[in-house]
Amino acid sequence: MNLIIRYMKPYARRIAGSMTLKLFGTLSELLIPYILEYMIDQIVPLGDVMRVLLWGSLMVIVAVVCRCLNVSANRHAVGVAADSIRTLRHDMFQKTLNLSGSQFDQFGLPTLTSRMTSDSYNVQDFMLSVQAMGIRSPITLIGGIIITMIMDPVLSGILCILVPILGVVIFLVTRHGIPLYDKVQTSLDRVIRVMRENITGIRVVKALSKESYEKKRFQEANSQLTKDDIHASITMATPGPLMQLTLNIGLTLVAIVGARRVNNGLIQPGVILAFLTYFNMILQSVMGLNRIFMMASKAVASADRIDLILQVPDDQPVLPKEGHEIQTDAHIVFDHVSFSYHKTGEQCLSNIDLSLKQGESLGIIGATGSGKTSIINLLMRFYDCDQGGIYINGRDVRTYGKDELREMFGVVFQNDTIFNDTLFENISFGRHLNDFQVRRAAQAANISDFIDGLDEAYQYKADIKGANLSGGQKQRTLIARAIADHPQILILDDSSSALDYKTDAALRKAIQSDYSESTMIMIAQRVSSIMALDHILVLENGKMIGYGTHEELLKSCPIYLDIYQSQMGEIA
Amino acid sequence: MDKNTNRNAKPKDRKGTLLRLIRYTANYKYIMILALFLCLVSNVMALTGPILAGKAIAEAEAGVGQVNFSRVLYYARLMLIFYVASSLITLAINFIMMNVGRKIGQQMRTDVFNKLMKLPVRYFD
Repeated sequence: MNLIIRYMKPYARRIAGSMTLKLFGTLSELLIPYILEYMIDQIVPLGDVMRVLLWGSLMVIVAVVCRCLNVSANRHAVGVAADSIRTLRHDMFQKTLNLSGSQFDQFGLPTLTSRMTSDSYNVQDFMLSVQAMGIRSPITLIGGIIITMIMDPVLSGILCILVPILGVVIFLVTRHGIPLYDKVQTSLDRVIRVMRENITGIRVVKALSKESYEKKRFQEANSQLTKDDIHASITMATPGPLMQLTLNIGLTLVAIVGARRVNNGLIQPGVILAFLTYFNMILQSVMGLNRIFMMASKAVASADRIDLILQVPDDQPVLPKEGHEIQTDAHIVFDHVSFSYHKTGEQCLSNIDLSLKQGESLGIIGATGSGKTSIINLLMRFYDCDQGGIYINGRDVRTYGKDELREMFGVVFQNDTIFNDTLFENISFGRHLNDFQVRRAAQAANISDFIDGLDEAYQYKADIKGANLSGGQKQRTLIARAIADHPQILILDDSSSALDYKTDAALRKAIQSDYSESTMIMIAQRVSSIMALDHILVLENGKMIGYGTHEELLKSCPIYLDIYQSQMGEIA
Repeated sequence: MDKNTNRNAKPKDRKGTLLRLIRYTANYKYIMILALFLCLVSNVMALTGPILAGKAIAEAEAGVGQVNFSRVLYYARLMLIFYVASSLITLAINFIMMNVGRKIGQQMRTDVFNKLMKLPVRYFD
């Protein structure tokens, strides 16, 4: 609930304003049946048409005023809710982007997405209803009861007995019903999951001819969902007719008792008519309160989930420079670095020690899971190492501000993304690079020929995840993006996997000539890619089993020799 | 993130889509006719209520000591019968329509899924 209050507080004045409007709107609405009663009992018997018309027009005016006030208040309410949620979503997006690697792993992508979407919708709905109905329902209820008490305590007594009974019945039904909706949500999740699995894994399904198996699996999830949905919907649909019935029974009682009281000269007939309207209004307000209550419980649960993310403390603070510097003329230094992703599990990296001068290049090679990408993750401070230190320009990476640190890099990740935007923007990537820079990078990455061959050239729009580009075209675009800004440190993580030997070699040559001031770290599977680099690091199970130049390693590292021979074949 | 997420996009081919939706209800056409009929009855009953109430109140308007109670009670009894019947019928309609609606939804989901299974892999890229 704290979260909801926090985000609505900036709009306190607007909310107060709309609630005041709502207050007057509700009061004027309560006035209308009263005027009706007055007219029927006092004015009509006078037989003066003019006065009837006068009071009639008064009623119309009050009704119009009521409508204007309510509509205006609702408009403000919608505006406030939308603005609050916009700020909330923005904060969530920002927080999610800045989560540390381990925090992101802890939550996982599906949760973060659903918290940004469906949870924020629940909160928005509540923000809206609490403003729209939060004043109207209680005031109508209390005001209605007060006015009916004033008009006739006995008839009002009927109301006062029926309303609580009804309230309790509805409360019980709703309380039984909400867990049913949770069940529906779970069943729905399952259906979506089966669907998603089949869409992403369609090739596997078809290759193994498992279509009918998958159809059956889907059918099970589907019918379960339908069953739960029907159960929940029918349960939640009962209060409606029940309320209507109670209202009508109440009306009937009012008619009977009212008639007796008129007979005994205790009240006027107009009172009965007014009561019919008030009954209705009070019933609607009870239903409204019930709805707000339901929405509140959903919204509070969602708000808590959102707040969990927002309140996550920064587990990667920026350290002060003092005590975290070393004397070195090297650009990048790894000093006895050890690391594991889950602190209790196996060591992912053990005792990594290396040093690179500005402009030098490092190639990292090793089997799958040997820790190559982890080195990059630590260098870019997506995770913090457990032992040892990583230094850039003599300073521990932890002493740099996050943005300050990452601006030094140009990266192609192993699983990188092309965005649904022009190729120009995909390369420039919000850094406002000029035409020359982008073209030069495309040239070096060997993709400028392809782009120039397109009708729209650099304005060609790539689909989401670059679905309209081939694997090699995607990689070359990503490489262009990485080098375009002449980064201090260039990292290419397995980014030539879709390129043939010739393109790969041309790429390295271009980087060497045009972007030589960048310190380059290249992770590759092919020895041919890293052979010519200044240093080569061979990793196995997170340990350095070879570090040196190509010639040195051929002699000193049997595994490297092995890889080299198996890849180069006859030539070796 | 442009045309696909435009909330104001109108559905293409409204008539065709509507026809296809109607075809889904074909299996349930008898039930739906029954439901529609019940709806009619329920609404008529519910509408009669206020008419009867009006008549009852009109009796009350006769004034002090002049109210014909047996007629008031007569109307009140009728009102009760109509209201209770109307509510029961509404509950029945809800039950029927929830079932039909959700089952149609289930059928649609199954059809989509089965169609997906048949489509060539190319479609998924």
